[in-house]
Amino acid sequence: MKRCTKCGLPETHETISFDEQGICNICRQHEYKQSRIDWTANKKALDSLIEEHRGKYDYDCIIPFSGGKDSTWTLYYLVKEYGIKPLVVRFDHGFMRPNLEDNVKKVSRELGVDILTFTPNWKVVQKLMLQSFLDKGDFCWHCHSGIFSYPMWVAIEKKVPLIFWGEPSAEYTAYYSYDQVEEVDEKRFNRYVNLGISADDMFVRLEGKVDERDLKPYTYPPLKELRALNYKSVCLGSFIPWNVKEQSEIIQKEVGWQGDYVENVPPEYSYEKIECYMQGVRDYIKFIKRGYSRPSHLVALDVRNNRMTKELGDKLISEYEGKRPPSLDLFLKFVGLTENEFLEVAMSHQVSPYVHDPAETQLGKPTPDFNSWNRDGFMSREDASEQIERWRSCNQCNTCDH
Amino acid sequence: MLKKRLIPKLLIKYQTLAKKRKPILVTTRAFLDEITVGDPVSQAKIYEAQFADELIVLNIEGCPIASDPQSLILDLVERIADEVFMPLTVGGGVRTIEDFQYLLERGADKISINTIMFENTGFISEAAYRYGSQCVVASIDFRTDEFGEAYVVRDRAKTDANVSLIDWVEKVVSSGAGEILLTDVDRDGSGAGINWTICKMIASSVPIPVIISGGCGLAEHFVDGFQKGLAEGVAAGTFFCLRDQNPMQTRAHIHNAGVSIRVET
Amino acid sequence: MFHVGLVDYHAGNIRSIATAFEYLGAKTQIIRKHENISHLTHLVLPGVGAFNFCFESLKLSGMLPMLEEWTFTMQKPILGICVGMQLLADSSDEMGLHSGLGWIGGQVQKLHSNNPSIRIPHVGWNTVYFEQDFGEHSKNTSRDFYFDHSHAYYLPNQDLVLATAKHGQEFCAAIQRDNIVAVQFHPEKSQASGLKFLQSFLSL
Repeated sequence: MKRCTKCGLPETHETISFDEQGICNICRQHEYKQSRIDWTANKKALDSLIEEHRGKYDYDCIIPFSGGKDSTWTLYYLVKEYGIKPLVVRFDHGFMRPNLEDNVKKVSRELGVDILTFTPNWKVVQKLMLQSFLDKGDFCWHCHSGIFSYPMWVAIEKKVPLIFWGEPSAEYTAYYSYDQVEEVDEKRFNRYVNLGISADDMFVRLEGKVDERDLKPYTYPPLKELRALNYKSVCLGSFIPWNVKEQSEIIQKEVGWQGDYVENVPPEYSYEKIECYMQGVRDYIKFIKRGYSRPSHLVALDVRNNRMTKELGDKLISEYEGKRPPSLDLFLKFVGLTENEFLEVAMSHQVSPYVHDPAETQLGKPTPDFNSWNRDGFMSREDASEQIERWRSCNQCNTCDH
Repeated sequence: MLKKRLIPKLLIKYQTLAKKRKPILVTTRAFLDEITVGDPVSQAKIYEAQFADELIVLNIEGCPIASDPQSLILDLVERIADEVFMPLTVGGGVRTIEDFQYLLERGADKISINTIMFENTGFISEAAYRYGSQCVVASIDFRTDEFGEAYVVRDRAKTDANVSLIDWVEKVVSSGAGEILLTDVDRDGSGAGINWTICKMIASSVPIPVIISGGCGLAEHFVDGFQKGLAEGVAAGTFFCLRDQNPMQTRAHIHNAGVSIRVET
Repeated sequence: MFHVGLVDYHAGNIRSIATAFEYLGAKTQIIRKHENISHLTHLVLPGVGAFNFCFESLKLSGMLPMLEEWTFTMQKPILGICVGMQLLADSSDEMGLHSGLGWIGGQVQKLHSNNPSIRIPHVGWNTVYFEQDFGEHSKNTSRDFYFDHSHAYYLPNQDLVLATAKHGQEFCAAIQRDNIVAVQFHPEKSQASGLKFLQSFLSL
């Protein structure tokens, strides 16, 4: 596989392209961020934006929040820097880890904020996870769509027009570049957040077998209603330069936020993706499809920021990447698949030129809290079979001799 | 320099969902085995956000536009045109010059014709004369026999048209078609790769742009279509619906292979 | 508030142009016959189809005097798109030699090339090089726009050439003389680039 000569990300990384020197567009975007953006002016713009909205509504802004490093930083920064009164909105994807919940309590009590949490219907979530895994090789549709849609409905309902998200996508992919304004709107939602499937599309794919109302949390609100609110949905990372390492250190020191062991990730990255106990499965699927996953991503960030040599990075990657995570056992039960079916589906979403060989897969270690992860709500084979059969009906399985 | 084109293909059928009869997006395999994959207007918006180069919307219900009493397809074209700022090629059920007019008025830019070319051999020249060749896309479905020879099929591949692909293409081009949309029925929805061999044979024989469709399963298949098949456009229906891919990802991949394609955002 | 008139003489996709201008916040009005258009701020002349067919349709519509008054007396901005641009030439060789309006001069001729990879019609996204500043488009910059045509505009007077493109040969992608702007490509079908161009037209 072709790789960036600087950060090592492979050609299977979403939207990556290489220039004549073999350096990738993400690295170039990073260079642009460091040298061509007037961050002083952007900070001033942020000051104005805050003042424009302060005190005029029940809350100064909405901050969608998971409890991970990015949303914690966003909340911490805005409260500390500006003393605003935010409404923190959490979308419960169903897989919150114990340490994460402790972090949320700690941080919210330390900062003093109102929190609204929404937990969607688990039975619907299961169907959505299975369908999006089958159709897109990514079971997190409910989470991606819910996290970006639900807070917008809250904004409309509570009449709070300003919404602050965390990092701009330009930090990791080229769906947007740093030289343009990255508004967190429906266009962005359609460009890459919802995997190319809206709630209307998902309703069709589920053959109308859920209550249409159940899909509302995953539906982006109509533009008309958002415009009537005069909404402004932006990334904090468009106004201040994003620096994950520095930010994680600050929130650990200032509000006692704690990192965690994460499946198949080097322990020095304890700040990364602590908020979901399906993270290991997500990474494993990515590896099956694209031949790289989280360790490569983390190493690329460090190499790009001159915090690590490529040699050390490669060593970490080969030690941790691509292993079968223990959380897969839970995932299979939650969606009613066998491990062979899981591999079959994941491999059908292969991204060329990577070709996965399951025989080479090693087993990964469980995290210390593995046994405390909730195991309620397994999907029966009967419930899953309709969706699986539909996928099998000679449309996408590669084994069938049609 | 003229860029190669990445063209999502939307196949439309009418279905009753949640008690409402409406156009639904489907994908097919070898022109059979339909799977419903979405709402056409929603998908058009998504492709617009993902900078697809143009869209092809084909009504595969099989009935002429005039016999569609609720004008579902015309209404659909209008709703799609309201959401996108990219070219729309619309086809399926086009039987008269008036159909061209109705579709263009609703927002289509190019009209794709298939069945009518067999029934009325003068139709292409009439349409090209009235609307210009660049508005007329000749859609040709083909299969290959055991010797690898390509022959034309019609009526959603239910009938043999009794003409070789190359002969039909030459006839269609000389009548004034502006573009050719070739669909390999056997590879349709298979993900096994597009038929760049046949595409190259056809593209080398005609002076007009050729769009190849049928079989995209990997980003590198698109590259094959452009580099080996000499296609100006690759159209994909199943690929974007049932793969962890989207036009922006695929486009980056195509660009990395050295193909000249639009990458601006 | 901009108020854009779209000339409908049954030769073009008016709807998409209206959608684009409305997206940019302008009001639109479809003009189908000779009428009082002095309240409008901008006018658009689309055109899809054979040159002579379009020209005859325009003449039959009875709107030519209205357009001439708008352009030369009121001197308000007018945008010709595709065949709407070609009509402004002295002549076109599409299906025989036909006269055009002659507002800008120059000839419309069939694109041709001996290179088999240069296919006609010219369909798809191609790079447009701006020779002059135009609103948000600076001189010596380039953007991709969508083309769909077999005949192109050739203008000897370089001063009036706003932008060029190449397909086989170089041709005029956009021309401008004061309040008259005309483009061979379809800005209403060119996504972000096209909307930027239309915004620039509105600022005239």
